[in-house]
Amino acid sequence: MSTFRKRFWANKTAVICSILLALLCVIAALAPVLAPHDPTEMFQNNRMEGSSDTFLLGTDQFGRDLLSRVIYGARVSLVVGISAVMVSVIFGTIFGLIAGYFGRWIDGFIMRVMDVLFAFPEILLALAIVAALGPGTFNTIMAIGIVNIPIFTRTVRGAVLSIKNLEFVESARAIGASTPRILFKEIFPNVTAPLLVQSSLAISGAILTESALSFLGLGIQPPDPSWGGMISEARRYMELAPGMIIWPCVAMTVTILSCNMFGDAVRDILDPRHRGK
Amino acid sequence: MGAYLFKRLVSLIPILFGISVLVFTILHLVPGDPASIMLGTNATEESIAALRKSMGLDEPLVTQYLTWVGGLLQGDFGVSVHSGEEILPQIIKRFGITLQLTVFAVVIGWLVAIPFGIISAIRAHSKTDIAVRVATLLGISVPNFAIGTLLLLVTSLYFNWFPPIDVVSFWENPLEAFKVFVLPATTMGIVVAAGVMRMTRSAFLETMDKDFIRTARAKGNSKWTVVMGHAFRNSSIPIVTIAGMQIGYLLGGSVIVEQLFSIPGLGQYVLEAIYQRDYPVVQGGVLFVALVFVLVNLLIDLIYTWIDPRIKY
Repeated sequence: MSTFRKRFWANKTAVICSILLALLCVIAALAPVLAPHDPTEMFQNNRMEGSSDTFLLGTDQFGRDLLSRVIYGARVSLVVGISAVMVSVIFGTIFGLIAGYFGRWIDGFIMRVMDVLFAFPEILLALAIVAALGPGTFNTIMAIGIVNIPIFTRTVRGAVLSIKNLEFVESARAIGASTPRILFKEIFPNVTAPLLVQSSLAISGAILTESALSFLGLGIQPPDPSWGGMISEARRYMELAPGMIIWPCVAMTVTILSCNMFGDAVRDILDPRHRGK
Repeated sequence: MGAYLFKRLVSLIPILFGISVLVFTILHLVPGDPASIMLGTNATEESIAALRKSMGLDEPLVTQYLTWVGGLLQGDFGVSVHSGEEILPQIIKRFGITLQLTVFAVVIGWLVAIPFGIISAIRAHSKTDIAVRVATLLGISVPNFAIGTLLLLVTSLYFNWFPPIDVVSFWENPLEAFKVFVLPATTMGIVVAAGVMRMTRSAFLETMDKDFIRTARAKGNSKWTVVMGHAFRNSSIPIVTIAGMQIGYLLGGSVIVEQLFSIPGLGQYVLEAIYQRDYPVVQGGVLFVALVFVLVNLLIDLIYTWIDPRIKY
């Protein structure tokens, strides 16, 4: 762990991106304090205004403060992104541990189910699930979570296959440890590294999918602010108030870029094949 | 090769079965009565009962599934609840448009990605390499609908130009088709280029370190011969893999771009069906895209053997 910490602090990208992500989390958590206005409050006399002292990033077609909506949008994106990845991690880990450890027909069955989930383009499967469950925050989280389960199952299964016959697992078996204990106390701590890398990369994908669903009107529902929804609404007014499109785009790009670069950096730190490249 | 192809086709059977079960199940998860949801709040009891009967929704789930799959195997994807049209001919017609868009996007993406990926690897850590890597990261991180919206903003604001709305086939009028598809294809092409460029760079970096490249250089071959004659083919497997995945992405990702640019492709057909709660169309469209995705993956596996004859199945 101390080696990881040393390598982490030595990696500038990892440090800068983690600071940026921490900052985004703080902004999202403190949105009610930091946002200058209520994100749904309409200032009818200030519609589609440019930047001013009262509205730092201007206002939208209903006179709502763009800065406040971008700040609250961060909250939605991060909550949906992180929650969806947590759903994928929990189910992916359980399926991956079971498939890798037990092998044989259980492995075959679980991995064929994952192959089926992999046979759909990500956004299309998410759309189909949302079409069935209906739009909304919870359903968006579930849809994105389900779509990402196969990648975590494969990651964990691969890691389990490489360690399940090592001495420490054999010893645990020899002293009569129960299967759940072997799975969760012995094997699981050793698959957390690939899980961490995959999670940080999956969060950016989840944020992208959420914003795409919201853009199509099937994710977060108005008047709740989401970056994808804001861009979708702004399309009709893009020539009159380009800021309505530009600011959510900037916020989304910074967030996704930070997640991607953080994921790459953590992979470089943990994976000896990437180190020094 | 023949035996491998047969084995792969046989292994597709459980996958295709799983896909059909999943598509069928997802749309039967709809809370409430699908018939009344599809017909909306103004529907009468009689019309709801009639739809339920015509779609077989009164039957047990297994019977419904078997009837649906039986129809699919005979090329019958059912009828749209909204328009009353046969679904399969619509899917095929719309898929033709999506395919044109995909081909345009792939051509744009690869034309940019492969040369720049190679240059970036050959001149690793130079300013060009840094610029390529930054562009790649941005391409991966900016959502395609944001890229598309910004492209529309720039072309309309600064060039006073909007893409034509009427879709024309490339074979009928290539110039007009280019005008229709240039913005949506560029939008998708940027995302494709980012992924392929990243993979090309990393594959070339690895290949250029190999002994056979050193030998080729030592024999006095020109840089061009070393790169194109020796490194290119040996780096192409991961590039083909990512390219195959990208085609799958394009087929699914086209939903957003088609909606953004009002292109009546398969993605927009499925999306409109979702908005109208036309579940037979959603089922048919999603299933069709999944089938194409599976076949594209099979094709990619077969291309591996052509690229690298050492791969034996």
